[in-house]
Amino acid sequence: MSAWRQAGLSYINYSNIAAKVLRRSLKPEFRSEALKRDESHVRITPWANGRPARKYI
Amino acid sequence: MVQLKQVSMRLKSIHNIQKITKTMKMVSASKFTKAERELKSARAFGYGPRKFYVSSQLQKEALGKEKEKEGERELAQPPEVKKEDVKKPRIIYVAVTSDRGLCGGVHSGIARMIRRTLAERSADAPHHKIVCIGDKSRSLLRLAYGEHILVSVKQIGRTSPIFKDASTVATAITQSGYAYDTAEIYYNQYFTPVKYVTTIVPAFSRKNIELAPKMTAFDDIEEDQLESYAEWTLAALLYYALKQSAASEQSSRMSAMDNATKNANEMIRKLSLLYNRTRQAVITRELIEIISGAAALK
Amino acid sequence: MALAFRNMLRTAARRMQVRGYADAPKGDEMALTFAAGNKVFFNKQVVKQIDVPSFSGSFGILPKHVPTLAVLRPGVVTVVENDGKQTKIFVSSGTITVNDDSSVQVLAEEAHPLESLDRSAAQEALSKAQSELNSAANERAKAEALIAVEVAEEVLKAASA
Repeated sequence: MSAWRQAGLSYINYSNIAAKVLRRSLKPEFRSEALKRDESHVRITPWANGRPARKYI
Repeated sequence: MVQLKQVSMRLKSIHNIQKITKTMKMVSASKFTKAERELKSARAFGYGPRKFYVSSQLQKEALGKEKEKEGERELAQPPEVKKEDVKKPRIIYVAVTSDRGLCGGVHSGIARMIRRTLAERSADAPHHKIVCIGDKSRSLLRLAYGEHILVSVKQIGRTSPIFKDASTVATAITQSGYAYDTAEIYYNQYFTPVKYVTTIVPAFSRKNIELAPKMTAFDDIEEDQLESYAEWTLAALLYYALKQSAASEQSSRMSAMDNATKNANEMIRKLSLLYNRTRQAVITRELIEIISGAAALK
Repeated sequence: MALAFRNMLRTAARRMQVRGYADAPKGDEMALTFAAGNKVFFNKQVVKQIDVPSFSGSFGILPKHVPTLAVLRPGVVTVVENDGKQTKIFVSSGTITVNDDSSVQVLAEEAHPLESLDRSAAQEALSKAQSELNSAANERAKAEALIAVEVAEEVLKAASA
């Protein structure tokens, strides 16, 4: 088992970090456009017993 | 007798409504062009996993026939999920909509389809969970199926979806701790600016992939890697569905607003006629009064 | 306005007609679909060979490869086209699927051709990741920083080559 999975990360987390580093390592002319794909604005609300529970992310 | 003042006020307000719908149409037209362009690059994200599901026979659909036609249209019929090999499947239903309305039946179509499926499979009801992407699906499903909602997602549809959005949702699904067998993603598949079809695409969990009938033909894969594969594929399919849905929504809003503008035009035409007639009637009446008053004085 | 709307419908319809793939795969040819969140590099194009970095080691794929699944490790994917032209693309992460009909799908979150990489920017990203690693307070933060270091090192290696 890889170290990151033992630390509680999923491959999606891994992928996000990897993509982030790659975007930062681009030549300046491509970088600003790529950095737009860095941040997600979606808000997640978990539900329990038919109503929204606490908020996170 | 209709009051002249009332008609003119009504006429003015419809003029304003028409201005708004016209602007909304133009805004969604430009957003649509962008969504359609970006959809092209997202198509592969739907094609890849589905191709694998078919070749491992997780899904029975014969993709061979579509392959030549794939350029113009993708799977027309929602692929059936194989039911026999899992007795009580734990299914997550993912409703892909957005926060914004005024776009025809895009969102309600998704909610209707999920309601119908849930009603059909009501026997396994305790195993069903719903993930609502977008405020619209949340408000459409919370009354009847609030108990089943696992996660809801907002702030969708403001900007065009990116992979990070899909991966955030996928992470939320994974982190919810619900061990699902299949995630069925309900979304609107975009065909042409005037046609979209509500479609289901399944995403399978690691366990299900391992059990696939033709998995033996595949090289041995470590469990860890297969887990990662399943996780990432869920994100990829969600990304694909979000992109498809964005294009369908914008195109649908565009035509909805176009229709609204046309309707407003029609109303303006009728009301101006009424306004002019009423005004003429008022003038005529005043003239008659003056003339008959003058005649009486003679 | 109505005219513009109609024009858009027409161009969209036309675009659908011209799409379609001249090189449909047949026999023992290998059709590659290679897409990332930012771009599509190959769309069902027949190619000679593909080398990919994966968690079970780097491997090359030739036509009639045994069907397999793998997840990508950050690194360089090399595609050799039928005319011998080599394309090197750096991928962050994603999946690779080889199907029983020899079609190959590579999906990545982010992918860029090697010539878009910047050596000094990668160096900067590496030192930032290393300092994060040193200041990581818990296991999770440490694992995250380790991933960043690994990726930055790979980018640096690819950009220097």
